[in-house]
Amino acid sequence: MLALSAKFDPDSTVGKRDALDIRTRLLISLVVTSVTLYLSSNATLAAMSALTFCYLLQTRRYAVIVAAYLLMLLMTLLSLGIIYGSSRLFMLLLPGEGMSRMMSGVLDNFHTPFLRSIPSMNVLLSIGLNFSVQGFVGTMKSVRMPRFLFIPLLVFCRFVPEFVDVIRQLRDAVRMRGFAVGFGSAILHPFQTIRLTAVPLVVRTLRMADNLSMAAEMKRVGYAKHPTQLRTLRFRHLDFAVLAFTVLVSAALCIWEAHLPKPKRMPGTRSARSSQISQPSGITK
Amino acid sequence: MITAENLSYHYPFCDAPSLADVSFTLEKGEALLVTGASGCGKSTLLRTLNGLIPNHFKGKFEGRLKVLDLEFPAPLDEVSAHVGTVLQNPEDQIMATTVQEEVALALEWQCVPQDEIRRRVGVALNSFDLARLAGRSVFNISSGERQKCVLAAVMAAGADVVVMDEPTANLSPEATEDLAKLCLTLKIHGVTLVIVDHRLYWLRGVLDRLLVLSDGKVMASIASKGGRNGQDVLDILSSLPDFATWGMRSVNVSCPALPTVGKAGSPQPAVTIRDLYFRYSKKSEWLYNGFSTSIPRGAVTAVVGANGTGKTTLARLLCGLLKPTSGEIAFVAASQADSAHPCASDSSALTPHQRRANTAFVMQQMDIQLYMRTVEEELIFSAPRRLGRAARCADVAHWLDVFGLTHLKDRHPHSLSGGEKQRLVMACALMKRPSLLILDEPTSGLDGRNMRIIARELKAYTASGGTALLITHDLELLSIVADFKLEIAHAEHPMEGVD
Repeated sequence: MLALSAKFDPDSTVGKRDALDIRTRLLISLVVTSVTLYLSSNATLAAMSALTFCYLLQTRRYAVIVAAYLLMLLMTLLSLGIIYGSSRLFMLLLPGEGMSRMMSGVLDNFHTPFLRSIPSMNVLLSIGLNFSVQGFVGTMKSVRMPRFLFIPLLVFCRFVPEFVDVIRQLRDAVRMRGFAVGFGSAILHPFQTIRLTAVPLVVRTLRMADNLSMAAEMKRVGYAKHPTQLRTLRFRHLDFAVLAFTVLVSAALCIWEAHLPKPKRMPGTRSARSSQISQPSGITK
Repeated sequence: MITAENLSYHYPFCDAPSLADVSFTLEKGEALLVTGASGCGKSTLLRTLNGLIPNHFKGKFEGRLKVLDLEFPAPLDEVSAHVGTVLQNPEDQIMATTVQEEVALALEWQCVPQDEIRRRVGVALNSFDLARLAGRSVFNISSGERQKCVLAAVMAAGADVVVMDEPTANLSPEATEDLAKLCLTLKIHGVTLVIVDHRLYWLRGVLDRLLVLSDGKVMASIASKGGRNGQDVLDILSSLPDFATWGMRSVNVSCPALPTVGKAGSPQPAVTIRDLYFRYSKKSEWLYNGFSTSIPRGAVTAVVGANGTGKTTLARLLCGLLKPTSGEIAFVAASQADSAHPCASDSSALTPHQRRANTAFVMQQMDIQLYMRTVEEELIFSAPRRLGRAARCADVAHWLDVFGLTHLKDRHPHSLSGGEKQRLVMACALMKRPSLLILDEPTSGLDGRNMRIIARELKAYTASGGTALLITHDLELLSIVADFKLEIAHAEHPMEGVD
């Protein structure tokens, strides 16, 4: 029964081993999201999106990637529909050239926030798909995160995959009752869809979150100042190489962005007005 | 090791105390079983022992409790350093994403050196036959395997006291037997055990003391040392005159010898499965590799097998929730004269949608199967839409009465106790008038009274011509209701039930 001794090497187990250290992934995310905030032209944002997409493909979770992009596309189309519809309504209610120019400006610049969100989605998804509590614990240990922040973060990270599993079970349970929950049913039967999903999800998730918090405390997670590790986190050559590449590419994109001609500001916006004020008379367009 | 004197606890916003004047002592290396009907205060006592009360659950805590040198109430981290806990639902306790990480997690936070962590993790994984799953995601293993993972983590942490809440609820009989042996080994190593369970039989020879609770009060306290002629505490318990009134389970349960499905003399099949192939993805192993069998009509067929062999997957395939990679699942139509639960379609090869319409599936997780504001509405919602209002109301009144839920009909389903929820979900399944009823571990965590109600109604359903498939590790339930068995093994091994 109880073995007296056993050799165990966690590195030899079947489990997936991430090619990069979790800290490398976190640093890449930090650099990419910061640089993306600075970038505003289509060319640089598209380049950043393409590069981070290649980085995301390394996870080989193609089904999840396609689903995430479809969701992003759906959100984009939904926003586009709302903006287009509301612009038509405004132009109908407040006719005039100024309004028309402003609304067309809104539509022209509509894609920028979505282009900005793609690199962030790629790097964050890459962390999510390679998430390991081991790596997370190691990182939090190295940054000495306080317990009152650490436990909620750990519970949240553990909660996400469990939540996905609960949604699958809920979908099965609802289908067995002869109903389907999806985009179509949300449009055709919104109240029924809310009832079939919200009630069990809220009850289950509250219970799960409570129990996971208790479990974390009972394992004394967050109580030790210097917890040890089953598997030592190590920066390898690949981590340094990837980080260096990220910094170089980000710097190159920033330089490119700085040398690109500035896009035309929308008339009536604050930046357009301030540029008009700062420029000497006679030069304003 | 543990001393409790006049221990009382009152949850906030509750009228009655959940524990009232509970006293007991437990020496080092002893095992105590706390049992009783659902809602008797067993889990509350466990929460006081592992420090969740009053650290996590606020309320009125009275009396004296001492574990080792710790006087309670004590800070949770100090209690957790000595007391390991196994909760009933493994999903709610696993913090890591892989099996090995989960087993190592508590050790890491105890600052155990890495070499020692690796040694202890290896021992724990081997003890629970989990070494082959060490690197596997906790989301890709069965409930039973998750339960074993939680047990392995607690054992590896090396606690002085281990408290377990329904530890066998998801375990196969073989894994339960292993757990009993492990408990004995732990006792030899001086670990004190407090076990809360409805299932009693597996603890024969393990226990030193036993507490029976009812409404938070101790109804019986039995110790083996002072027992009659060295009798096991379970035998002393069953000989008590009030034993039958406490709604508990049997103390003697043996594995029933059931005939295998598909053998000569079996009734007409209700469902046939031919050359079933299934795996979750192209990279994963085959769960079903040319599997063929038939499920007899008007009988309860027990699906048995080790944890992780694909019993729940088979249920999902039969219901049409999963699509087989190849193979055929056919429902054999029955005439109205033969059965009160005819298959709604005459066609034997049904589409997944038609299979879902003809099948009711009681899943393990209760919370995700309840949606409405009241118990009565929940039952109405479960009725087939083809039924008229009068027929629906008649059915609702009938099932409320049968399952003893009439007095709860205006309650919110999520406010019910575990046993009441289980009965409600079963009633909802029967409201559907299915030709095939599948139950996945319907009695895990249920006391004897509720288990017998479920068994009685399952028998009544098959007596009226319905076909039931019962996935369970509960030997007591199997011995009461099962007519046939369908044994599922790992796909690389030959399976019984194959034509």
